[in-house]
Amino acid sequence: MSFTDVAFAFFFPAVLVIHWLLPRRAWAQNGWLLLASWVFYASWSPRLLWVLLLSTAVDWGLGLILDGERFRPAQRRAALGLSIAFNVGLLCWFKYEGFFASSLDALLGRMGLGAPLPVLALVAPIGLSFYTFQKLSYVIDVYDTKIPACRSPLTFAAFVAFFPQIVAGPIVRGPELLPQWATARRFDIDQLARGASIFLLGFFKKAFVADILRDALVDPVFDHPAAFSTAGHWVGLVGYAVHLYCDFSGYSEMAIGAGRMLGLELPVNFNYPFLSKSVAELWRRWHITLNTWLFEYLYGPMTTGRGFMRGRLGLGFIVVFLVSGLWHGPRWTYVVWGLLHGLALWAHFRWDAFYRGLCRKDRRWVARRKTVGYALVAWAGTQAWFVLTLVPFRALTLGDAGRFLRGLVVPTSGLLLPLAPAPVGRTFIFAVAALFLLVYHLLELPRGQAIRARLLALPAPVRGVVYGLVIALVYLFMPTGGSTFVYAQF
Amino acid sequence: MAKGGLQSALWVVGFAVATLVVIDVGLQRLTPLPPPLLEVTDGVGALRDGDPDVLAIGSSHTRSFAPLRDAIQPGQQMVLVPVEAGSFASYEWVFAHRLRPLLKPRLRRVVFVTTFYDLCHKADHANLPGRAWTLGDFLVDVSARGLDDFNRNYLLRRMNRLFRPSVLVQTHGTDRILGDVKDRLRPAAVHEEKRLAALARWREVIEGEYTRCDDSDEKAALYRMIDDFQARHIEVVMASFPLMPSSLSDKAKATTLKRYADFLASLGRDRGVRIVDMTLTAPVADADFMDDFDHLTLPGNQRFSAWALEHDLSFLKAGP
Repeated sequence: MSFTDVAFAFFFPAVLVIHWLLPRRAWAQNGWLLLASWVFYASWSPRLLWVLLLSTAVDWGLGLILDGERFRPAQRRAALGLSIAFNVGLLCWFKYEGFFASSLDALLGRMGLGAPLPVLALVAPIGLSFYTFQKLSYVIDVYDTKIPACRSPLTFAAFVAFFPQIVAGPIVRGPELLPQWATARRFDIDQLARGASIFLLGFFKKAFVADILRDALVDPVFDHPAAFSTAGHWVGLVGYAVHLYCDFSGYSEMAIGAGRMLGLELPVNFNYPFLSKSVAELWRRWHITLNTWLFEYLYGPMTTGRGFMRGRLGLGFIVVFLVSGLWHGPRWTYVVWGLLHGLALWAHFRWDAFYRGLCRKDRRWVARRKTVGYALVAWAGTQAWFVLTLVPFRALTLGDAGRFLRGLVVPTSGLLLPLAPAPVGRTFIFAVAALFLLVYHLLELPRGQAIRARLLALPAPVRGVVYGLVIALVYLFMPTGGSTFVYAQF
Repeated sequence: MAKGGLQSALWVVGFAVATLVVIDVGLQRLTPLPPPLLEVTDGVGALRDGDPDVLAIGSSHTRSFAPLRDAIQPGQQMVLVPVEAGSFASYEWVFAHRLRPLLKPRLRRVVFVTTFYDLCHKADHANLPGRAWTLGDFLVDVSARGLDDFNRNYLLRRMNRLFRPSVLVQTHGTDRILGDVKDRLRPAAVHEEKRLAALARWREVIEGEYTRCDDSDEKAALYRMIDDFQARHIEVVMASFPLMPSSLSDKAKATTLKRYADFLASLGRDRGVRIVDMTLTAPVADADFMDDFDHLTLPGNQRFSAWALEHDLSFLKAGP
């Protein structure tokens, strides 16, 4: 069940009402949310619920050893190693077994060696990448004594399985959420209202912008690129960037909104990435919780440790983004996408160092960096790079990516926009979506923030009318069916 | 709890709901909702609460038997069970899961309201969750394979029933409201041109069904039902529904329809089923059909029912 699913319209109000009717005790609230979360999870893949249950039990138990004063450092190290091996092993088994086996098979085949390796074609449990990273951060934080181990299996299981974020994040770390789970939540109408408005914003982004763009523009162009002109390729690619942003940030906002309505604060996952003026800034604004995780638990230890990578900051970026690429899925296109962004971060790192050298020699370079011209070039370059790297991200094979890239640069005749399936009122839909995105981003700029504050402070009846109009608009145009989220497949 | 916060939230919710109601009422003026249709649930309810002599089961055409039902009462009771977009296999599911446990000794006749479409292969029976499932069926299916597009239909239908008066909910995902707006703005000539193009496509569909509509699983489902009814000494009637004259090409008559007529005849010959083939013989004209070229309009249906009750289906008046 996804947030835009009709099932969620029955499920969430029931969960919410019962949650706030329960006695204000942490065990009661956590128990109810755990039950709801397991039901939610089972609605995706009931036969793979055991993976979640087993891995939760293992990490809860190992967490107690990691925190135990009666255990020797070697025992604690062994427990940490066991947890990492178990979690990474589970991830590799379900998600990457086929990829590694078929890649190795192809390599050996080219060398004329060996018989074909078995490829099991396993179905990965939904949200595995997300809750694996969440549990890994927990055990590492407990080992590093940043947080105490969670003694209550109920609280720990609820922390791992919390339904708004288990399928596609935000990836929550222990220090952010465990203290909230440990105490009973108090009903707060303001929190509920704020959560509902964030949820509605995410719902609009997903159901109106992302889903309609996907059906009417993105999928037709990417599925049959040969039918489209060069301009059509660009329209499809930019449409995909918007679709991906609205799909994933919409999901994150719905998760944050649902969490807040239940009295739990989830971390922000997107912060206007289309306003970024450098690749480094982009990755501080896009999928923030994954990148924070990667830099905190991989980049930091790797570049400050004792091994080969110590001090190799630029190479560290490449390694981190190769891991990020693979985290998205077992495909070479994701590896290439990760490599491209790792290289871009490395190039930006070098450029930044070079530019700081210029600034030290001549202070006029500092002023130049603050000009509108510099900002515009930096913004355009960053966004163009991001959009172009979405070609391998979206493509199923490197060959597909190559063909699409050729379509972007080699002039070809063909369609500009797909002929079908065209929803009724397509021009109106595109205009509303474009206007929404423009205004949404303009209001985040320094001059827009004051206007946004005034808009948010409009009288309650006016806000009510706006919400009513938004819901009607979504209901009129959103496609039916159980639309899934792009990141739910990662 | 902050009192001001609660008050503000109530204002927001109140005005949001009021806005939605105003929009919904406005849209209903533009696109009025049709009256609620008879569904499987209604038929099951009537069977449970009543003690019928005749049970009519079939696809959406079964609803057209409502005037017949009304005409033969109060001497006899007739219950209609329309399974939207159904075929014999889905009628069998409805019969086995919803109707059989409710059958009472007085039932003496079962009428299958049929067309050639009932023998078309439908692997998924996507109509059942929305039209015939109970909550128990839904939960069993979800616990076995998770929530998917198939069983989600149950929830969509529940949502529609919950918000029955809302045109926004009833037409969600169908483009109906926006399509109606477009139609109103479209010149009559263009409208007619589109209608003729759609009719031509419909004609081709019926011709094309020749390759699809002779499914052995569908036939087997019908045979099992016939055997079950006959074992209970219940007469089985196959009443084929009239089709729109201009939707039937000579090719369709010689292929799709001919084969189905032969199939019906074989049922009469080999299995003792009473056959009433009205596909081409009922005195209906194109004007008696709706824009979907498949269902009779209200006046058209009244004319058809009056004729049928005096001619091919007159035996219904007499009772078993």
